[in-house]
Amino acid sequence: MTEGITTELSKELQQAIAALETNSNLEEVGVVVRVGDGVAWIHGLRGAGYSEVLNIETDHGVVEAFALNLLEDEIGAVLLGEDSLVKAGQTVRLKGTVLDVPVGPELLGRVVDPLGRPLDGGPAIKTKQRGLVEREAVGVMGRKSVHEPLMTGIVAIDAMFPIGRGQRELIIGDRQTGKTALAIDTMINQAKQKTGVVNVYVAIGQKLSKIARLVDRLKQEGVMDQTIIVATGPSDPASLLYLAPYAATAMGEYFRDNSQHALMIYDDLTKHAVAYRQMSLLLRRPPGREAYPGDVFYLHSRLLERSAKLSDELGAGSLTALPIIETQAGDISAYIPTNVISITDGQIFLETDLFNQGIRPAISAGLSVSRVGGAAQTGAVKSVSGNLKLGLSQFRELASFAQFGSDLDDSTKHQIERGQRLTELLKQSQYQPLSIWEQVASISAVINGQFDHVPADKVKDAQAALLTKLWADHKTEMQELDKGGKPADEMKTLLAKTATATAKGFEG
Amino acid sequence: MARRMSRRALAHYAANGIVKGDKTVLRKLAAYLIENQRTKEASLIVRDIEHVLSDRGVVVGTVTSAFPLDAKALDAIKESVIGTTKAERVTLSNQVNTDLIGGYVLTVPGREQDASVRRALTLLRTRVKKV
Repeated sequence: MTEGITTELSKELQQAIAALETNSNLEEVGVVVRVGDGVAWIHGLRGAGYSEVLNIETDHGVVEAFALNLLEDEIGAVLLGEDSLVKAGQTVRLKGTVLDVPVGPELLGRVVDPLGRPLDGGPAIKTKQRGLVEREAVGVMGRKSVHEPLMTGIVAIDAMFPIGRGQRELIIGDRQTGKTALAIDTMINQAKQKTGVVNVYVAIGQKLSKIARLVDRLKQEGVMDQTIIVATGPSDPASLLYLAPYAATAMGEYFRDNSQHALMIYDDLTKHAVAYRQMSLLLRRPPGREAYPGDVFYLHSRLLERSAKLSDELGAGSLTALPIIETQAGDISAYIPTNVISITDGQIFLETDLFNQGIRPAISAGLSVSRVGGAAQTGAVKSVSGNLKLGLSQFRELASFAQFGSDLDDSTKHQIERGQRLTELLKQSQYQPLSIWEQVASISAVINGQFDHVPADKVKDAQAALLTKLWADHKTEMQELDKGGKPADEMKTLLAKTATATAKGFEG
Repeated sequence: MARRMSRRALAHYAANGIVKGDKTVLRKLAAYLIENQRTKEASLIVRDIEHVLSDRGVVVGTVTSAFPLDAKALDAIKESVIGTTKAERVTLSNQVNTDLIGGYVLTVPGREQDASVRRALTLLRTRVKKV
């Protein structure tokens, strides 16, 4: 080990000596005029480009920064390292590149910072390629419409708001409503169903303890091998929080561009906007609504536009995005939530009231929508989930009227009872995503009335019994159903018969 | 309220005066800076003026070395500056700074050639940190 380090050092020293002998160019230089709060103001460097990396030579080595404000007299640069090392008068040079990060399969299973440096105590990451942090999104001709499903394993989502590969589906809700849990379950499902989708989880200003718990859980579930975690904590400089989603997207794009499928989870973009607001105010950019800068919409639109389903000519890879937004008191009409809602292809809205009633995932059937996922829904799930969303929305409305205790007609009563069973069915424990056949069998039993005589509080037990029986007695048929094709009539009859038989044991 | 004049605009104004041989231009500039309470920017404006002058073929630079350089070495450096900047007039002064350990640092407006041992060690330190 020591020998390796010595060899490396010796090589570095030789290179430095070689550089000393050959450095005969006049390089453009600037000087730090003032510094503070993670921002350095630099005089000179007239040739600097937007977002170009600058090297500030401090007494303790080079500190990197990137130029964000190119003014007539000076440059405002955001520091990527410790600002305490940077002092006025220090020399600044152009690195000659814009920001890039290591990309490739070598990153799988690792926890890294937005510059690709390992945070998990593992060995240095040596990748063959680097990807640009800021990159233009794929053009119109390079895209294909979303048509392949990205199964989350969560019945409520896969049945009512299906997500397709290449889609951007926002997860939005107040704090403590299970936003991250949905994202984690989706990641776990990719490993459980062996979909081959690579997960890239971006923690933006998340508590480090939360990230550590997440990594442990992903390792337990065997998902970490196909996951990259880009982590930034609350104590990291705003510049790193700002860069995190862009850097992670560059890592995800590697898989997209190599005909693979990747899933991006941005947790969360509210903190990202706040970090950008901090940087912008320190850079003296004019504040707008809620003190956010004028380009806060572009901040997220250019990020999420990079998620796409590529055309066959470009390899047919995909990058799906699940951005997360935290609302205050359920207000989805605030500035950042409305921005991201309008950018994405739908949203899953989580309600505090539902969460507190024990309905978890606390997905609001009325406010959630998937604008493009319908085309990507598997035939199997589509065959049973036709009026699920409408039925559930109507039930929730009727249920609130029913609370007044007035006499209800039979049809309304029936609708409410089925809605109650459906609500119970859609409750799902964390870390337990369901496969396609499990979803189809469960929904079909309630929708087609086989569970009509099962009391609502026993629906989950009946569901578990049904799934166990089906897997035990009809494994081959269930494996066939799991492929996602529209079930044949024989399959429907089999499901109905087994459900009716199972329900008998639970009737009240 | 009058619009704040940029440093670059001031530098162009001063450089024009210097090139034309206007001996009052620097006094006018000083008066402007005092009146507008911008005297703290004086050193930056000087750098800007040097920069504008260098764009017009007049380069004033410094060679800092760990040991005094002889005339032959200075001439060689001057030639290389003329070659690189295509300047008509180059004036170089030599300063000694033992902190450089070895090699030299050539500074001309807006540009620098740091061929010192100190910088090589700084870069080495940064690389070792990354490893």
